[in-house]
Amino acid sequence: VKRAMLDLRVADVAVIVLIFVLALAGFVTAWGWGPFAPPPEVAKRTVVIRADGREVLSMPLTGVGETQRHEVGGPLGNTIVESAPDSARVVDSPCRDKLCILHGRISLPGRAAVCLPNRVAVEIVAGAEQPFDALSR
Amino acid sequence: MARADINLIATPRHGLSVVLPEINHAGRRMHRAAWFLLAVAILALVLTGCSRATTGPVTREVYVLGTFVTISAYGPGAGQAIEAAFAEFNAVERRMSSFRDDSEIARVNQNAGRQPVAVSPDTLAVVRTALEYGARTDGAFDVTVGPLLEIWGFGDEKKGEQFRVPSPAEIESARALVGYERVRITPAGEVYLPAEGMVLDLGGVAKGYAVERAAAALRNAGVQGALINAGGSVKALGRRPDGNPWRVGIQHPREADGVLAIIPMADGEVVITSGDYQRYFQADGRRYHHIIDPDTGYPAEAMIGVSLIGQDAFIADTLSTAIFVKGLEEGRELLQRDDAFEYVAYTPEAELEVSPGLRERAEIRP
Repeated sequence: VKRAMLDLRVADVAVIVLIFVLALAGFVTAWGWGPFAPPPEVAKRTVVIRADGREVLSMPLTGVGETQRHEVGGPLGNTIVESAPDSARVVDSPCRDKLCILHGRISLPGRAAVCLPNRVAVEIVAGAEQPFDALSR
Repeated sequence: MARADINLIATPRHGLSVVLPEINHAGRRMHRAAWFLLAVAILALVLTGCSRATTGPVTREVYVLGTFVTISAYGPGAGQAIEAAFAEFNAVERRMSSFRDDSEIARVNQNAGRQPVAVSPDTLAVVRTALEYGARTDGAFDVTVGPLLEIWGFGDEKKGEQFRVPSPAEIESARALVGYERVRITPAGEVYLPAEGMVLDLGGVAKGYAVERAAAALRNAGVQGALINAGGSVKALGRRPDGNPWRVGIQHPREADGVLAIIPMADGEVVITSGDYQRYFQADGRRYHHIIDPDTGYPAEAMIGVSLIGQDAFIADTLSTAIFVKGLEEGRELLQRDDAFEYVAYTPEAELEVSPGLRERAEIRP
């Protein structure tokens, strides 16, 4: 009986230690600590295009590759967004003001070019790299 | 001994116990300790699932009051709290929007020179405060500036107005229809514009009011923290989920990627900006923007951008417009005798000025 008890306790301890390790790993991963933190490339900048508040395109700025054009539909027609390897800008929009085009090229986290009349927004997001949570303008 | 021999029995003193036949007393204590540790370990594993992934901010963006409004909130019931906050924005739009023909403000304008119009207590309160701040700012902030905006093309885009530089005669005619002091509120609480062609435009202040109403809804719903961004008018509640203050950047008026300063926000604080880059057109090599000086009828030239930091989005909106029109010198006096607001100002000489109370807190960007 004592031998059986000893075996049981060793197994118990092994299971408990395993569960503690799993729990610790879970905490560390969930909170993005230590070696479980997201790799740098995950936290890099991404161009996000939204139409009427809904995300229609999300594309990482990789620093390499080609310039692309994206047509985004809105109530007035199509807004054309150009994404370069390191930046983005609105190149055409059917709005009257053209403020989104005049705003120019954006490349840093948190910056946005917005066409309110056509309800299209282009934003650079960067997760933890973002230096601020909102931009007053 | 086989595992099947372990019995679970209820004991009067210890509740449910594990009883292993033929085990001595010390062995039983060891086992209880083992089960206890196992329970703690499982609890820890379960709690892992209650981390940031489930309590992280809920974010929603909606087009309302003529702009994109983004609300992020976290804590129990954050999703429902955000719904309640947007309900406030929608209510303000229904009553006070200049973009809807069926709003209370639209009816006031349709009846200009004809008859007073009954409005809801909310709308009346906003009109009263707007008129009060018209007086406090000597008319630099004027909710009746609409006719001037229209002749410059900054009115309702749906009416097909085009940007253009109006003639001096047109400006004089429009100025004759501007004057916050002429707006009448009857004893019954009706609003009356005494001349046909007068326009009440709550525009930015309605947005500021909606921000405050939405913030109250979020607080009432018990969120731990939230950030409201109504087209660049930002209000922070509580702190970020990581415990640090929310951080709000101020757009550089001339550089798409530029930021003038970053403000770590106190609970309930707002950043409201008036800038010549928000709506403008260029003609003959000049920039004509939407903040019209009611006194001259031309776009105000005293400032490039003014951001106010304080507790009330509604009041901050009136004062930032007034300071933009009057310039920083008079603006400082206005702030000294009025509510407590800090400022970040960008002058036509491309100089950045930050109020003394903000210099240690704000991160100024070169």
